[in-house]
Amino acid sequence: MKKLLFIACAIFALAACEKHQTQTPPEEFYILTSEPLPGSNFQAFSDTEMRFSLVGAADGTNTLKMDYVKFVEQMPRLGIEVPGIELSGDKFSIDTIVPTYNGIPMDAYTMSDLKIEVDRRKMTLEVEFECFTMHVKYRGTLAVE
Amino acid sequence: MNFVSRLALLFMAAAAIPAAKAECETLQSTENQKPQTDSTIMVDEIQVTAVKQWRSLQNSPIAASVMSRTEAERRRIDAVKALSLTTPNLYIPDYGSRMTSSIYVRGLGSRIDQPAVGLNVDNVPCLNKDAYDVPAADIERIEVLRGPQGTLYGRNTAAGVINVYTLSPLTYEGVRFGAEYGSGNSYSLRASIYKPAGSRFGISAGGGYSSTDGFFTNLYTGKLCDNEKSAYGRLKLQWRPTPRTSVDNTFAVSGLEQGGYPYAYAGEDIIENGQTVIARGEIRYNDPASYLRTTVSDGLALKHRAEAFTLSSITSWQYLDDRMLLDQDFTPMSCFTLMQRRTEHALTEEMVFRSHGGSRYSWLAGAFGFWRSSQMSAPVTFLHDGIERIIVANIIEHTGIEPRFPDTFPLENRFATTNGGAALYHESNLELGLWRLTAGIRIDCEHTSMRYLNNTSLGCGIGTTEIEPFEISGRLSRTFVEVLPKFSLLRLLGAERQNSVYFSLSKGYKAGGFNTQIFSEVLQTELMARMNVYPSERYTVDDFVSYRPERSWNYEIGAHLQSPTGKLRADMAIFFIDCTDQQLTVFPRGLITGRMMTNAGRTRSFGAELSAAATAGRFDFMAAYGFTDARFVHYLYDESAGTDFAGNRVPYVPQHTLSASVACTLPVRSRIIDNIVLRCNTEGAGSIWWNEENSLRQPFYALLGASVRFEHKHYSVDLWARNLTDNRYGLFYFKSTGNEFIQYARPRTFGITLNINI
Repeated sequence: MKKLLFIACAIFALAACEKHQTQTPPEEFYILTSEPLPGSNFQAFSDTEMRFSLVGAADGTNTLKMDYVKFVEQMPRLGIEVPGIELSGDKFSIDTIVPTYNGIPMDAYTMSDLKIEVDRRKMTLEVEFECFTMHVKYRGTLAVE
Repeated sequence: MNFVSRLALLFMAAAAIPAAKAECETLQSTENQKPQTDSTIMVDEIQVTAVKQWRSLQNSPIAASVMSRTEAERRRIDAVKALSLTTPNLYIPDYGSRMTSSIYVRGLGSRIDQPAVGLNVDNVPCLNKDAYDVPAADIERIEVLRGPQGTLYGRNTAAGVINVYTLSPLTYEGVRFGAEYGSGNSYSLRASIYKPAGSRFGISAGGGYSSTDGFFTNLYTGKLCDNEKSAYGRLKLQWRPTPRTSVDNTFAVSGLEQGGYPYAYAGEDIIENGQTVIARGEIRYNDPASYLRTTVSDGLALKHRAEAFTLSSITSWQYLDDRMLLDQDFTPMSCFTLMQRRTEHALTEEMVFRSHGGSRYSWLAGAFGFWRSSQMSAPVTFLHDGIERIIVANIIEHTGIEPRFPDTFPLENRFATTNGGAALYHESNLELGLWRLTAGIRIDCEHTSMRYLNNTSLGCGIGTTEIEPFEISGRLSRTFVEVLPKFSLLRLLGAERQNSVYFSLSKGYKAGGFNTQIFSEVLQTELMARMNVYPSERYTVDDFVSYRPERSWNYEIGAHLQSPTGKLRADMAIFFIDCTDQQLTVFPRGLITGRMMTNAGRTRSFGAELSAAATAGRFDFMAAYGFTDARFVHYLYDESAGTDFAGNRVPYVPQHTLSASVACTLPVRSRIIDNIVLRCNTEGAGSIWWNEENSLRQPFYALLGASVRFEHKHYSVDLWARNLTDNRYGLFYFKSTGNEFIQYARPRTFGITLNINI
């Protein structure tokens, strides 16, 4: 019986190793969708060109970097940041926050109801907020710098 | 006066001094031994200097026009661009600098980079279009072959080929002197000597100098801006070591100093703070502009006539050195300037095997190779107004935040381009009674590469971000392989077989390459990205900078006709061209400058050509008319906006070209005058559409010219006038930083020309 159990464990271990050796990293993906809120004059918008990432800051917080991003068709593509992200159990939320552009607060891009969730097992990053009367949702591969 | 001008004057003096001391020598020109019928299309002799022809172009399945020496002198053809409108559908507008040799034939043409029309001088191909516009003197004849000539002449001959042949010291002997003075304080002097030494060796030397004060004033400086000085020299050696072998070497040098560009502002008046900055129609720019160029070339032609074939080898070395200084906004505002310096070396080698004529089957085979290396520096300097109005305004528009820039912001651009290629070709001709079949094929391979190094040299910043000077560098390369076939069928007509009709099908090809002028835009885009402002569409340098080859198929039916007496001749052709990836010179969208070559999806053009010449008593009549309808079949200009220019006319292509003249020769037969030739001519072109949108065009214009020529066996005096009605018309239109500009043609001009041939 003990031998059978040992053999079963060995087989299981081999199978697990083989699965681990053959496991390929998940393919990268990035998608942002914007849906108009009631009363909005903008059209629904989606994009796969932008990149969101979390960057560690010297004070122990994180900065959400949004590169090549636009939330509506009419918005120019910019690189903007949301500093001071303190993850709590891989999540973060705040009622209102003003992102920065090259260190300068961009009041015009004020975000409300910002939610951030990191899934380190799936290596994904999800971000959700409201801006420009649009409800913006992002989901993409987590790139932690 | 620069070194080249001095060298040219030395050539002239070398030719003039023995002329002053020498006795008058008997002119031994073949021209004087021929009847004095003379027209643009009338040359029957098989010219031994043409290495790729068996027979007269009159009996070839090609739409061709030939201009003899006398006709070239009467029309004062002193450069390739003077051929414009002399043959149907050939349009060479004279604008910008002498670097600009834009040649359009049947809807195909080019303003920058690769030419659509090839140029050969004494069988040596001129590789760089920027060196086309050099003085052309002592012309024996000029051939203009319309339609693709890719099979025999290779790349960049999709619209045709111009062959210039100069006088040979073994067939022409004597001294030639010319002087001209005209409007704009324009004058030129030239001299050459042709001297055989026995029957096997000949030498010729010649040179010339010309100058003009110009015709257009830059109102900012109060001075004429299109002034010009140029000089050239040529030394030709010909040796016949055996009756079957010949060795020809031609060394040529030219120099040019040219002023700025007479680009007139064509938009609404720009008024700022109650002051008119520039008004419509004004030429007014504040930064210096000029163009300097030196060209040197040497061509060595060896020919040996074996039993069954003739072998020709043509080797050439070509050197070009130029500098262009440009006020790129062409306004009194200080936006940006460009200084482009370039040095280029090229080598070509061609070997042609040609069977002798006289049998039913004849063939031609050849191999061609070339190598070209160019080094270019083209820094663009943004000045105060350019920084504020273009860069800063753009960033504020996107972000609401003002960046920090120094007073000037230079963008350095350096390029090293190398390209080389090889080709093999063959043509077979079969005569079956009255029918002649021609088939040919060419395989053309080319590799081009460009190393680029572009950088900013000063820092800038926005918010808390400081951007240090940075560089973009890399290497691009492309390899092109092309097969260029042709087929034609010709039938001789008439008892004397002097007339013919033909059908031809041929493929044209224009090489691809890389845009260099657009790299300032690449640097600006990278700078904006470092400021976290991005273009609406991402691109790679390779995709943005490179352009693809252009390919076309030409279908043609034509005829060469002449009356039994030869006093009436006519050539006609109808054609259809299907072109894919036609290369267009466009101005990039937005508030930027520079030009770029891009590929239109597909174009087609069809048209007709007619040239005729007639002699009736003392009168000679000539006319050449061309019609071209060239349109986009598919050209998706702006994918995001869905802008497709399908159905629009291809810009810069004249719909009609016209040239007509009548000359009356009055014999005088006095001691000092043999004939008086009265000549009246008209030439015109249009409509020409200036942009892909077809929102602007130059209507058809016609110019009237006249001349009175007093001829003697050894000299002639011409009194001439051009554009007698002082017609004002546009030659070129473009946009820079959103502003529109037009260059107008020269006004009415008068002059006197003296030619002495002894």
